[in-house]
Amino acid sequence: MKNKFLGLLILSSIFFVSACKNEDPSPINEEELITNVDLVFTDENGNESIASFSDNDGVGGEEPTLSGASLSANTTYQLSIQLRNESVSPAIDITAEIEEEATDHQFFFLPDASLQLSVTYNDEDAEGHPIGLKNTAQTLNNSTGMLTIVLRHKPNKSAANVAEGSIDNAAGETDVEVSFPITIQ
Amino acid sequence: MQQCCKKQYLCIPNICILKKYFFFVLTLLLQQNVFSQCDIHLQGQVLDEHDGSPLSFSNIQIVGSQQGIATDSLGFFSLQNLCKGKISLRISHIGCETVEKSFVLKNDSTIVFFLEHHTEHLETIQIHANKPNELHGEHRAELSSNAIEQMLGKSLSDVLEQFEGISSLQTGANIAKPMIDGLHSTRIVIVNSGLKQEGQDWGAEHAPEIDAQAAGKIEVIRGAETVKYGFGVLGGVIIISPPSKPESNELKGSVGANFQSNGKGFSTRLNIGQKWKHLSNFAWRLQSSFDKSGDLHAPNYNLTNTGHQSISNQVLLYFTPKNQHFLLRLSNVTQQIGILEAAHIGNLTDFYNALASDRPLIVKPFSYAINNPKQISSHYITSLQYKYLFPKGNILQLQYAWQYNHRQEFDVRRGNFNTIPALNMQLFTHSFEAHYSHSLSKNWSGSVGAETIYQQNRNDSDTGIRPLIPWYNQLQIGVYAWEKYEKNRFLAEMAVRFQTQQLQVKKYNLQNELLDTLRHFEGIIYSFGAAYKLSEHLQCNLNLNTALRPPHVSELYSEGLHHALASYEQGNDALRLEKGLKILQTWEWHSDIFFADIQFHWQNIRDFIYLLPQDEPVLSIRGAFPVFNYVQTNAQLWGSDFNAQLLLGKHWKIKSAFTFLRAKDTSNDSWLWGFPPNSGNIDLTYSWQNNGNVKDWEISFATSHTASQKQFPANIDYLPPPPAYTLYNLAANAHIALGKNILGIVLEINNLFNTSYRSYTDRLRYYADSMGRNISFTLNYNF
Repeated sequence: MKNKFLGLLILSSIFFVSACKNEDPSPINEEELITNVDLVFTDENGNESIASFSDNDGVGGEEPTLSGASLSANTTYQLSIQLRNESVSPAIDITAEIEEEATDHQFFFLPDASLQLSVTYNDEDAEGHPIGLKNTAQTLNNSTGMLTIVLRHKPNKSAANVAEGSIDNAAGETDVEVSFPITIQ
Repeated sequence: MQQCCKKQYLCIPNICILKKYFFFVLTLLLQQNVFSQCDIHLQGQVLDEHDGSPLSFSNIQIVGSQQGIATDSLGFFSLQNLCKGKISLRISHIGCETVEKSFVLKNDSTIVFFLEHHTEHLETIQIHANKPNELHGEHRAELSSNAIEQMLGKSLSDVLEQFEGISSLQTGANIAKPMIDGLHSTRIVIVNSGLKQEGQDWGAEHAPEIDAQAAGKIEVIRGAETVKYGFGVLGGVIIISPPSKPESNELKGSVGANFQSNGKGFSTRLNIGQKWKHLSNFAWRLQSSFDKSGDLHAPNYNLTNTGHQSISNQVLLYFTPKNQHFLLRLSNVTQQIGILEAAHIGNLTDFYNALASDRPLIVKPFSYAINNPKQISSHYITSLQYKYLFPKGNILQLQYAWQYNHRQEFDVRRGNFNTIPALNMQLFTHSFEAHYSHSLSKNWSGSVGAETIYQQNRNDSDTGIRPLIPWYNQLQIGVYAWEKYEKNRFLAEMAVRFQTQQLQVKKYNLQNELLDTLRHFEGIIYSFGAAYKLSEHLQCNLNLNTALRPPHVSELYSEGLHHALASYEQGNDALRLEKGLKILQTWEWHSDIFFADIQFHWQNIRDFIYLLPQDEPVLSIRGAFPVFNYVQTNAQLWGSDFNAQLLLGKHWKIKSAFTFLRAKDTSNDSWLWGFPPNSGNIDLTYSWQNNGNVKDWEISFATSHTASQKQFPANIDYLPPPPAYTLYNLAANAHIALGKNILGIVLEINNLFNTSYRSYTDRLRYYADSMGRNISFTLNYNF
């Protein structure tokens, strides 16, 4: 009786152990990651000035790289934002995903007080609220400073002053927060 | 009520005449001839006739001699060298009048005692420390099944908070895991029906997938005996015993329902069992429970997305041929838990915004919906236990178990990613163990055993997010020996265990190269315990034990963002074993009207692993995150737990408990982070019993005070510990006889004055207040 029982136990353990997978894990495709942010400033003549941030391995690991933009004084620019995931191949265009879920996303532009730059929204989602992928940027006098852009996921777009670009009442969760050095000369 | 049976004058005849319910079955199973007059061996078990649970640690004393023994945790006992002829046994169990039974002993016998104690229905929720008439080397406290029944709708951790020195590490009100003297997760062991529960217990926000309602009894032990449980017993062991074999041919059991005002929650419970009519050594038991709640609310706002739902089922099949016990257990617990929506943040700015606000940034109307972020976790157990009772009282126990834990955590993500879990882990555990308990002589007894555990952790690769803990295989082997000497008023015990662990980890680095590492940890742990009964009322015990804990995979290899705390955690593969040395001393006073238990503990932990904030933050596309690394230091923990109860006349009772704890980082001369502050409570109860249909009723008023944690490290936390708070609870319960059956009614109001407070050991204290007033109504019907 006892021997039979022991035999059964050993058999069942072998069955269970061998039933489990033992192969190597698969690498993870981090499709959702945002690795690159480009701010593209285009003047009336079609000249582009680009500020960019890239962190191809996501948080941790290699340090991200950052480059600023140089703009002319007293000039009106079209400012568009492009987001990509270059950690996977081929790269994924995250800008398109944001457009698809425009009602759940909004960019905010927070220039340093020293920087004579103002940004106004130039696009809107299905509910008539701004998104911030396409904007107008107006420079004034020569100055330098940081322009911080923040992408909020599921913000409260109807809260006071949020449509005008104030982040204070926006809530939501931050998906992107990058500060770019900008020079106006 | 327990005291009812201790004091004759309190007893109501039809409840407390134990003899009426007390009967025994004597079976002569062994047909051995006995030549010598005094070498008869008597073994058996003491069971509760009502719910079939084993009456562990019942005292069995031979009248007219010093010889006696306590039943083990499963109610088994063994008496040796008995003489032929008439014998009288005095059997006592906690809370009940001692009963004597005489019979004629002819040869080696096996005996089963059934103690019916309906009287236990009168018992309020109460912790028993070491039993009055028995000695223990370790410190032990337990909660009976009737007490657990009354707490329908509460999580395991809530139930465990009844024990002094046990608090909950919470992630909001619906995720709670137990802490013993401030230690939790991989620093304590939970033994669920004779089996170490193997889930993803490393995570602070991973509540154990255990249904408290499936427990026959819950015990917490600290000290000597804990060495039997291997690695990781720095805090102590929580032992959840299964209900025992049903002993009635009729279908018996209980059903219960619970309603709660806060969260509009409801729970149901079923526990039925029966002995097989045609095959008397076969029995079955079925347990099932369901629990659902919507968003909870704090006094001033809804806690959006804090609903939960859980389902638990357990089937137990008992087969007990001559001298043998088989127990097959199949169990499943599935939980779905919402996490406060406002606690999901993207970066440090969001976190500071949340800290700056005195209410959560997202508050929505009440809903039962559980949205992201949420957790879905399931735990499955299949175990087969076998026990052979040798004629001389020795017991061989074998157990094989398979455990499968599946945990999915869903995050707030873009588009379709919302339906894909961000974390999807499967943990498979196989364990095989063998124990042999023996009595070498009248005074010496003990056990030896071996255990092997094989684990595989697998991550689903479709999550689109690097797994928090990597692929791993782990093999653990342990052997132990435990010996006890007991004579008259003195007991001494000693245990030693050797444990080895092999860990294989496969992990992709950030460049997507697969790294394959093998780690090995091993060591010896030991313990000494002694107990002495100074007088009829007073006993003391002293314990010394060591403990080892290998660093967990999460501490060695985790790397990533922690969403609720906006921090970047980095594993450290150079971590060594944590080495603990603990000294525990307990004094207990028992008399008819007064009981007190005070425990002092001191523990030194070398190479204590904790998270240390680093100077340089990590820069990411979401801004900078503070970095925390796993490092080691030397720690010292000391404290005291006090518990007392006084009866004032027939109806009044005062209970009080206090817990004091300090945790110091001795290498850096600072306090350790996250240990529970001091706390205490006082309960005043008025109870009444009578002969009518309402058998008894009771009203109690309880107040608990939790101090503010003043001993915390500087510059580690984002917020200082929350201020002290005092909560008041009101409870009433009654038992009504419906024919032979009993209906139990419990009405509870917790946080009576709807006080706003935050708990230091709640990880969501940065975001929101704890739960406000809750009115809970429970019905239990026992048949």
